Amino acid sequence: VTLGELVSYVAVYNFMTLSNGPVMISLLEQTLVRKHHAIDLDRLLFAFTIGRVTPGPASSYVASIGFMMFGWIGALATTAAIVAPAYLVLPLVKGYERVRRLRGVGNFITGLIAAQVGLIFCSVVRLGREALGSFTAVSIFGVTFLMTSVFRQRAPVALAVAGVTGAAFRLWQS
Amino acid sequence: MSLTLAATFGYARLQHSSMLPAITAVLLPAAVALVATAALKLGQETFGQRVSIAIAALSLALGLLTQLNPALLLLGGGLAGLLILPVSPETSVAAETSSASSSGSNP
Repeated sequence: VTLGELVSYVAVYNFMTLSNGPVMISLLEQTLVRKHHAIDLDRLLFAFTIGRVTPGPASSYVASIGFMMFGWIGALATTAAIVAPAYLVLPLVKGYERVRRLRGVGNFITGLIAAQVGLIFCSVVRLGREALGSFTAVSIFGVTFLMTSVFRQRAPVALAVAGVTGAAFRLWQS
Repeated sequence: MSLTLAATFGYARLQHSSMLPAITAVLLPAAVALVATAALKLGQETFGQRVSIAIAALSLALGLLTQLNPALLLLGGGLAGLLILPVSPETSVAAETSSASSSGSNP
């Protein structure tokens, strides 16, 4: 994968997913990890997690992916691919105001978002098969999931608790 | 953004460190959990109608069982919504709300 290809993937996926970070990870995993073997799954998930626990837009982790693959130039180019559309569509906002009330548009977006949910769950299953191979890993997954979805804690807090859980299990096992 | 890049830079420097496997062992399952939580939240906001649930389930099944390009699945979901979802004034407003909340920021 060349830098140009990476930027075009990011730009297209960003547009298609309405800049939804978790859906983009599903598409990027499929393209960069499974199809092109351009980056390994560990590094992709590291980028995603760091992107989630640091302040900023939810899709900022693509800068991390860009950095891992092409260094600083990759980080800058992928960031531009994420940020630029937000400015480029400004002239279209007036037109969108007219279109957004159309029921067909609303239905299309509802269907698109429903498909996004399915795709994210699909990613969870695929990633889970690879990342949850041990009791410790399942425990860390469970703790993080509970912290973020049930107790509504922020990702950095959940990650800290998950880290402590992982360390405790390792100590217990040894 | 700069914090994200700083952490990535640190990760790159740790590539040959003995600490990396321990960090990875925590981060990977946690990442899967974060993705699962995002799916759950988006699902809770979107699943007002049975058709939406059906589209999500079909998208999940096709994603797992076939090699279809995910971009096509998204497009198919949108078209299915356009063709199947009932025409109600609330739909466009719901879609607007969901799309706005799906592209949020981290704390």
